[in-house]
Amino acid sequence: MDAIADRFSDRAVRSVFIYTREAHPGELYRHHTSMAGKREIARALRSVVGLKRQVLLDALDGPAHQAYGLLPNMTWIFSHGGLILYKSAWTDPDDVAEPLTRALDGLERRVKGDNLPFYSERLSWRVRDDETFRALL
Amino acid sequence: MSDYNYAVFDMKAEAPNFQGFSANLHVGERAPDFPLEDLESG
Repeated sequence: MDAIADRFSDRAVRSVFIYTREAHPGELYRHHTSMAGKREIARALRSVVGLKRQVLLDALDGPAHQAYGLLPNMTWIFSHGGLILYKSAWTDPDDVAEPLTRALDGLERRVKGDNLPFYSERLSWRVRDDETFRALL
Repeated sequence: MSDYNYAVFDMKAEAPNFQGFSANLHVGERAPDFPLEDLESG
């Protein structure tokens, strides 16, 4: 997703990583019991994964995470005005790029007054990567 | 809060979230806003 952020940075796209809770707490990265602990684990995650995007932290009891669905790896796209343009139960850079491009193009054309939005849904697929999953626990 | 930050992952307990995601918030709606702490400056 850092690559997606870089790719769209010239189109006024702001991409952030929101750290919520440990989906699979273990010995190294335990469940959060304080914001100080949460910050420490978030810094470790940023370092281990090599995150380049801005990292934002939800409050300890996860109000934003709860409002957005409580899933561990969601992606959402919002317009500058705060409208939801895309929601996904999983983060897949390839799945994000195309709707983000269409959303940006659509918003630009809407300013000119020659197109209208429409609602759509789709089912997407991802490759299961157990090795990476276990390595990051 | 202790249930939110669970110590052990329980797929059965979390499954409703996956099933309910499509019914929770929709494109075209206003995104709810929450204060988030910047890891860099917070």
